[in-house]
Parts: sequence; C-alpha cells; structure tokens
Amino acid sequence: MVLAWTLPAFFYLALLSVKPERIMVERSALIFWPTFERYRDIVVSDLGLPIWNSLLTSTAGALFTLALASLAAVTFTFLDFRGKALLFLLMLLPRMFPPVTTLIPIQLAMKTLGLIDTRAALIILFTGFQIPLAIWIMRTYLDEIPRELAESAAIDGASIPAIVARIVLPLAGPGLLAAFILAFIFNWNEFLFPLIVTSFHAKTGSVAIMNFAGGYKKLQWGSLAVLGVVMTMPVILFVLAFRAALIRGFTAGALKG
Amino acid sequence: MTWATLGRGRLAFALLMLPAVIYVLTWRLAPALYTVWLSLTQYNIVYDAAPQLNHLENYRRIVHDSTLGEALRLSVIFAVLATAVELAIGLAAAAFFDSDPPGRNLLLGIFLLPMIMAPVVVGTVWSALFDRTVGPIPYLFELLHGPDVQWLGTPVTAMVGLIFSDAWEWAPLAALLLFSAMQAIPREQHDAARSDGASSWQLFFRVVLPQITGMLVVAGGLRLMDAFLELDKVIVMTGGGPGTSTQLVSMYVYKQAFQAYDLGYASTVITTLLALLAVAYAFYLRHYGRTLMSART
Amino acid sequence: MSFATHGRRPLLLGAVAVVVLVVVSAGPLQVSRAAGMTTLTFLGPKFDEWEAFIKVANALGKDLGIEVKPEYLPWEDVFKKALIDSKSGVKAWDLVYAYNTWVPGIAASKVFTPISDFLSKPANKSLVKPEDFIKETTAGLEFQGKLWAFPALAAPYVLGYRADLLANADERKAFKAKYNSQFFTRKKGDTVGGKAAEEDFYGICLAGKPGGFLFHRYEMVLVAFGADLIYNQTSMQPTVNSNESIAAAKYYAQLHKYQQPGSETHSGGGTQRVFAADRCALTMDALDNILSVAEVPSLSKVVGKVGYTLLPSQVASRPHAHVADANGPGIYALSQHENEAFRLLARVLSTEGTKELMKEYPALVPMRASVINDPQIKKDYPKMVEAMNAVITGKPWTVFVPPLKEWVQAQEMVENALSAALAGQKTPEGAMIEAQAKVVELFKRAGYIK
Repeated sequence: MVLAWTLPAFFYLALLSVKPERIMVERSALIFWPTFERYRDIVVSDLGLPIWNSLLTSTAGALFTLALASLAAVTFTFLDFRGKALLFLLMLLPRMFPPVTTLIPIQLAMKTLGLIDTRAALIILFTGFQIPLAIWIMRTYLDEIPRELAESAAIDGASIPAIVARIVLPLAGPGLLAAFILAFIFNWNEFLFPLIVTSFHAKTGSVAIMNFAGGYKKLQWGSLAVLGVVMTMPVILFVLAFRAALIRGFTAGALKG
Repeated sequence: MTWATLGRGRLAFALLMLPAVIYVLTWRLAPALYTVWLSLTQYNIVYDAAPQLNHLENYRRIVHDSTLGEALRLSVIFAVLATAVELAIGLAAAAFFDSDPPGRNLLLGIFLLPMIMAPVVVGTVWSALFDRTVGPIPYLFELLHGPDVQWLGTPVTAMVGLIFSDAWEWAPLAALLLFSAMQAIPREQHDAARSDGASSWQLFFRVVLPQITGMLVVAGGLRLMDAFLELDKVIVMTGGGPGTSTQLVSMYVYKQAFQAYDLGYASTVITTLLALLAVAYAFYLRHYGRTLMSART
Repeated sequence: MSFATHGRRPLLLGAVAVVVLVVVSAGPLQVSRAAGMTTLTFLGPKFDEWEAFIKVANALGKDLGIEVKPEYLPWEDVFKKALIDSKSGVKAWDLVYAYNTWVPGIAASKVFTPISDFLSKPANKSLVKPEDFIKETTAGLEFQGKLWAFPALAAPYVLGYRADLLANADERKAFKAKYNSQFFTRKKGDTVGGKAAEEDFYGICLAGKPGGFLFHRYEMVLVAFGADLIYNQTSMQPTVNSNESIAAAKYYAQLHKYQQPGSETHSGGGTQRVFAADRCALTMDALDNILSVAEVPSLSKVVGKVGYTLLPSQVASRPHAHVADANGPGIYALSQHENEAFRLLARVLSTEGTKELMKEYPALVPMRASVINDPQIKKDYPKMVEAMNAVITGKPWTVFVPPLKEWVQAQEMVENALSAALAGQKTPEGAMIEAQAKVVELFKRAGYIK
C-alpha cells in the first residue's frame, strides 16, 4: 500500500525518460524499444565539472554547517540565558524568507569579496542556509546525553572545550551523521543561488541539468523526465544507504519549523 | 540541572555559540533586513537605477491590492486542505509502520523519497502525470470511461492537483513525525490493551491517538506554515492558472519580483507576510516547547 | 580516561577532511586557453539553434582568433541572470541571447551596448550591410531608434494548416454537414483524411499556458480584430474593454471548444507535439516553432502536409495580421571584449554564416533577404521560404510589444482575465471589463492617466 502511493510516479518518470520522441504522445504505448539517447546527451554534455562542483560544495558546506552548528547546539542545549528563545527564533526566521529579494545583496557581497563564480561562494552560502536546521537536529540528540557523564568529567578537572570535544560530540555521532546527510541533500537540491552566483567554473549540477528542461519552445517531456531521474538518483542512493540515520534525523530535524 | 549551574564556563559556552550566530546574522539575517528596507522603496530593477524611498507608498498599495487578497485566500485554502490530507495519510502510514512490518526501514526509506527530492522535480513528475498528452491519470480515466477531467486546466481540479502533489511530497513527513511519536509509546500499553480484548481499532483510537495529539498539532503547524508559502510546484505545474485560481501568495511575490521586476513591492508583500507568519510562528514555538516538555515528563 | 582516545580520532579526521576540501575547492580557476585566442562567453538557452550558433561561431571564429564558450541556462532565467550580474557589476559575459519582448527592459537597464553603436563605427561599415536585414522581422529587436541585438532568428507568427485536409473540398463539406461548423474537429473513430482517426482530432491547437504563452497567441487575435494591445499608445488610455478587444476575446473563447482539452497547460513546444502527432487541423505559432517540430521526420507524422500562411484580419485596411518575434545575441555592456564580440557576430550572422547555421539547424528562419533569395536555400528549405515570402509580400500589419515599464503587469492582468474566461469562470466580456479596471488602476498608479 505504501509502495503503491510512492512508486508509480517514479516508474512513470523512468518510463517517460526512455520513451522515443515520436511516440511520446501515445499514452497507450507502455511497451516499446527504449531509447537512451537523452541519457547519452547528458553524459556527453560536460556534466562532470558541475557534478564535481556540487559534490564538493555540498559536502564542504555540510561539514562547515556541522562544525558551527554542533558547537552552537551545545550552548543552546546546556546553557540557560535570558533571551535564548528569542535568539533562536531570530536564527530560524530567515529560513522563512523567500530568497527572491535577497539575491541582489548577496550577489553584491560576493562581487565585493571577489567570490563570483567560485566554489567558495557556494560553500559560504550553503553553510549559512543549513545552520538553523543542523542546530535543531543536534539539540535533539544532545538532550539525550547523560549529563552525569559530563559533570563527572568536569569535577575531574576537564575544561569545558575538552568536555565538548571528548564527550559530547562523539556521543552525538548519529546526530552529526543525520544532520550532515540532510544538509548535503538540501545543498544538492539548491537551485536559485547557484544560478545567480556562479557561471562557468563553479556551476552546480542542479543548474547544469536544468538547462535540459529547455524553456518556452521545447517542453520536452522526455528530457524533463531524464532530468528528474538524474537529479533524483543521488538522493535515492543516499536515502537507501543511510535510511536509519536519516529517519532519526528527520524526526528530529522536521521540528525545526 | 545544567552544566552552567556548575558555576563556571558560561563564557566558554557563549563563545561556542558565537561563530554560528554571527554567521547566520551576516549571511541570512542581513539580506533579510535588506528586504525590509527595500519594502520602503520604489525599486524596479529594470527601470530604476537605485532604490528610492517612497514614503510607505508600497504599504498603502498593499492595503488595496485585491489580487493579493485573493492570493492569500487561496494560500489559506491550499495550506489547510493539503495539511489535512497529509495528516490523514500520514496517520495511516505511521500506524502501518508502527505495526513493525517486515522490511520497515527500507519501506520507510522509500516512502520518504518524495520529500527529499528537489521540489522542481516533484512538480515535473506531477505535471507529467496530469498532462493530457503524455499523462497516465487522464488516460486511466479515459480507459475506465470516467469523466474527461482537465486536471490542471480548470480552477478547482488544478487546486486539487496541487494539493494531491503536495500530499505526495509531504505526507511522508507527517508520517515520520507521527511514527516517531508512536514509537515513544511504551509497548506494554499495547499489550495491556490487547489483553483487555481491545481490537486494533480500539487500540488505535483509545491508546495511540490520545498520546500523539501533541505531535499531530506540531506536524500540522509545521506543514501549515510551509504549505502557506508553497512556490515551486505552482510554478512548474500551473503557473498560477487557470486565471488566478492557483496563484498562491508566493507565486504572486515571485511574479512581482521576477516577471514585473518590481522588487520594492515584492519586498513589501514578503515583509508583511512574514510579520503575520512570525506571530503564528511564536505561538507555534511556544506550543512546540510545551509538547517537548510533556514528552519528557 | 578512555573517552580521550575515542573522541579525538573522528574529530581529527573531520578537520583533515575540511582542510582538504577547502584546498581543493579553492583550486585554480583559470581556464586554459590557446595562445593568442580571445575567449568570448555566451549566455543563452540550450536550444538547438544556439548550440548550432556556438558550433558555427567556433568554426568561423578561428580565423579571427576567437573562440566562444557557452553557458546555457533555462530560457526564462537568461535575462534574469544577465540583469542581476549587470546590476552587481559582474563582468562575466560578452554575448547574451535576447528575445524581442525583453528588448525594452534591456534598453532601460542598459544590460547591452546597442548593436547600432557598433554598426555606426566607420571601421565596421564594411562588415555588415544593415539594409540586408528584413525589416518585417528585425523591428522587434529595435527600440528608441537603436538595434539592441544582432538579428539572428526570426519568429514571425503564422498559421500552419493541414493542407492535405483543409484543401479537400469534400472533406470540408462532409464535416460541415455533420457538425454544422467550419472548424475541423473530429471524434476518435470518425473519418479524417479518408481513414478512421485513432485519437480525437482538433480544429486548432494553441498553447494556453499562463505566463505569456496564452497572451502571445491572444495578441495575434487582438491584432487581427484591429484592437490595441491593451492600451492606446498615443492617449495612454487602457482599451481592454473596447469593442474590438471584447470581440477578440469572444472569438478566442469560442475557439476554445475546438481546441484539445488540456491545452491550458501547454507551452509552444507541447502544442507543436500535438500538431505533429496528426491531431490538429490548424495551429497558430511562431514559424520556427512549427518548422522545428512538424517538419522534422523523427518527431512528426505530418511532414510535408503543412501549409503556411499569414493570419487573416478583420480590418479592411490591413490584409493580414502579424506579430513579429525575433531572437538574437546582444553584446553585454560590461563585456571586456566588445569589439571582438561584434566582429564575431558580423561573421557568424553574415549571409554565408547564416547558411552554415541552417545546415546545423534546418528550422532556422533567417532575417536576411540575401539568404531568403539564395537559389540553393530556396531549393533546400521550400517550406520556410514559402512562409517567409508570405510575410514579406503579404504586407502584414505588424505589431510589437509596446515600450511600457508596466507592460508585464498589464499583460498579466489581461492574460489572467482571458484564462478565467476560457475556464468558464467569467464571460469574456465580464472578464475584460474587470481587467480594464485593473489596468486603469495600474496606469493611474504609474501616473499615465488621472
């Protein structure tokens, strides 16, 4: 029942992606000799660099996110201070902002920093995007760490940074993994900002693949389907490989609001 | 008891937090504040060299903007219906996963795929499925001699199509949240109820459901707010049409910003919306906090 | 303590990974280039014709010491990208694709340096003969007396009709007897062209997707009925509720029942697929759009069966109605190599270069008289020449997008009204009266009228 809800759409997408152009509009034709021409077009179209860019920037962005967010999460979990809720709200609020109006200041900032069309620009942006989400996930994990463990270390004379580095973070390992996977996937899917801040060298896979959608004149269902399959493939592999961690991560991360 | 009560290290903790806070403030909040400033200006990026303050003209305009009013109404309808469908499907799926079927994690992993896909791809998939020339849904109706429905071509069915695709994408999230809440219920309660002779239905309604209402509210609140700002699927599937019958509020903002290039007014709409949403958000966070509390005790 | 050894290793690994990634990602970005070559960049959509353009440009550019590197983006993102880059002073581009509806915006935001600025330089006079451009096609790329993009591909709007069916008098008579209608619509199983139709067959196929497709087709009907495009350009009065406009809206709504259901979500390309699948008698679209699908054997079942003609007009003084779209590359105002860029365009879009382009992309509709009149071209591309001669000799009443800052908003108001009328939510008349009120409000806010 669950599979009947999710999978038919995927199968149809895959079917369209190999359906020959000439019989595309014949809906009754479900069995045909598949064409892999469109996949070949994508393979030969220099997607190597964009995909490498995507991998690199999504990974680096996710790692930086983790570094910054896990430290902040420690504070948000264990330190009580006035205005904590407000600060947290302030951290989360930008997530609700539709990106359309922030494109120009960001592009100007990148221009000023000389980072237009560099991977560094993407990494900077990606890091910022996922910090609130990662903090939220990490908090949920950190809440479960037995405090006695840390407190006994403190009594033994370990400094706070040492406790964080040696006890808290290692125990939050699964949380880190979940946050990493989610941050990576969201970075991978990001389209609008890579479109604006990159052009040749740092173009991402999401932008490069979208070109195949054509535009006003060629709404080609086949190419669109190929695009869908290619963009979704890494996600499917990721999900299936790390499903246990991801399921935990999402139940925590989804509460980010 | 928290570490801070140990009496030392507040400063160290504060320093740990600082990089992330500064980072988010610079790269996320500052551009957001720029939006607020733009909302006070006349700025068409094609025709105006620079933003010009225009004495709250945009805010005066927003009050009389009947198209925006209509978009808000549609967004509310969309958000409420989509959330309701997602909760219903999510609840059923969560109950299924909670019964520990064989291969649960794999099934759940597959079930989750739609919400992790790029939203543009979800939109593409569903516009293909509903399309009359290549899509199987109209074809299925035709084979079964059902009515010839123009799914994305008539106002009501276009909205239904959007809601359905949103449910496909996000019911898994509801399922996941509800599932995690169900898993937190001690198994002994199931066993106790069963030994009292309760049927599966009774078990669900009397034991499980009362204990996950908090999570239902959380999941519902979360989806309501995200669905309220839905954009990607609208762009791909209907473009806001036919007429303005699926022009949700984000689509309206998008059109102002990227088709009319009226960045000033688009910023005004965003700022106003977010002010409204922030209020809702504060309520939600408060409730969420309470849910967490009650879950912990 | 045991945690000390456990804790450090993953952390260390993580730190190493971060450092490695930073080093890799900050790696060298310089492109290698052959000695003495100038590399120009091109920003445009990934359409067959622009891929052909890049190919020919690189072949012909060799003598000039120029190579071209394309960056393809989805069509609707091209202008957005160029605009935002130009606003923030990014100098990444040399050549940027332009579509005629973007031209007023390009001129206002100064994203391009006008082509006419280059044409008027004495050194360039010998490179291009402007009088060779077919003026029926290029006017859309002109604005405020300047030419903003180099004419490359014309997209005149024409009627494509199934000559094999519509020329057949018996067919028409039998149809009229059965359906009491001029329009050629058949149900699945009815005879069409002497055999039973495998699928429903429609009178007309028009792209109806909101966001421009619908308005663009409606625009042609407005022209045919002698209506203004939304407003009177002299008095600045909106005329969406004029008699001509309402007549056009009624006519368009009435066409709707001869269209394929679902056309409300079709783009131009999607519509041509249906036409090419032998399911429509008639279509109204940009000529190159029709040619690039209906006349391509691998895509089409109707190759050679299509006739092309101009739109009829309801206004006696204007024999034909015509909306002229055009495409061409422009020169990015912040380009570092604008003279090379111009020289390359002059070479690739010359008479000979255009012929090379047509070898790569046969559906190209050229904008040069010398190409249309070339005997070899006449022989190789008879359908295109037939249609273009109709455009040139038909003396059509040609209309372009008006230079109005609020054009996109105004267009959207009318498009939404029409779409609501087609969906049956409103009467065409009621919808247009409502749209008029909205446009009036828009014009008042802009200060055009009181």
